[in-house]
Amino acid sequence: MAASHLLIAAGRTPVTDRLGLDRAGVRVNKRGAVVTDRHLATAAHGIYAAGDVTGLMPFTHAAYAMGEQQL
Amino acid sequence: MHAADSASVAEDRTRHTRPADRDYDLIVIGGGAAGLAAAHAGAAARARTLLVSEGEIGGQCTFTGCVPSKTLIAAAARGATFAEAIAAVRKAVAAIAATETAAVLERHGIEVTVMEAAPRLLPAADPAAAKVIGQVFAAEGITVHAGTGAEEIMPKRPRRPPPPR
Repeated sequence: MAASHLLIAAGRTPVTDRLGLDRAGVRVNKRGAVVTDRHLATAAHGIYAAGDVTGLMPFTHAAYAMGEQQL
Repeated sequence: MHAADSASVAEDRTRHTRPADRDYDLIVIGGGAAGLAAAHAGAAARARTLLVSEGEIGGQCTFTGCVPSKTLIAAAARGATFAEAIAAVRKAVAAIAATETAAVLERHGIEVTVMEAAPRLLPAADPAAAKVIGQVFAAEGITVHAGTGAEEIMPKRPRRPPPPR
């Protein structure tokens, strides 16, 4: 098979390992997603998560809604 | 958000101490869709809001997700060449990104700190990040939206080269 370009669309994965979340008491699961309750609160008081980082619904509209919800 | 949730959040807020000397009510880490939504909501609620973003603001929707993919689909549907399609993507991304710059957000009452995008640079090693994140974790009662994103999953390279054609 011959082609000039290859488009890879294999999905996305949370990036949390560079934030030092463990030092803040924020828990992440095996896949690196921030663990939240149904209000998107993390294990650390006063810290909330929204968007792809939660590993919940990886859609822009969902991320936007999660971001807005918490105010 | 339904009424019961709003009530519980409001109640929760009143329990937080609010140090008079703290710099922000809301620090948002990440300038993607979730972070932008949270920051705009914070500013609309007159919270002193800081958005911290590594690299350009906009996140995957603007730069690698919705905007380029929808533009590519539209270009393919009208039979554009690859070069035409990529030109259309660049134009669309630039047009959307222009609506999400630090200057635009600051006009909406959101303070912005953009850290230099350096692949694999540890944010904690960046003095600006260390300062901001240190404040977050030291200060009680600050709400952080850690919507700091995701990255592409790349298939692993095959161990053996594919068979010759």
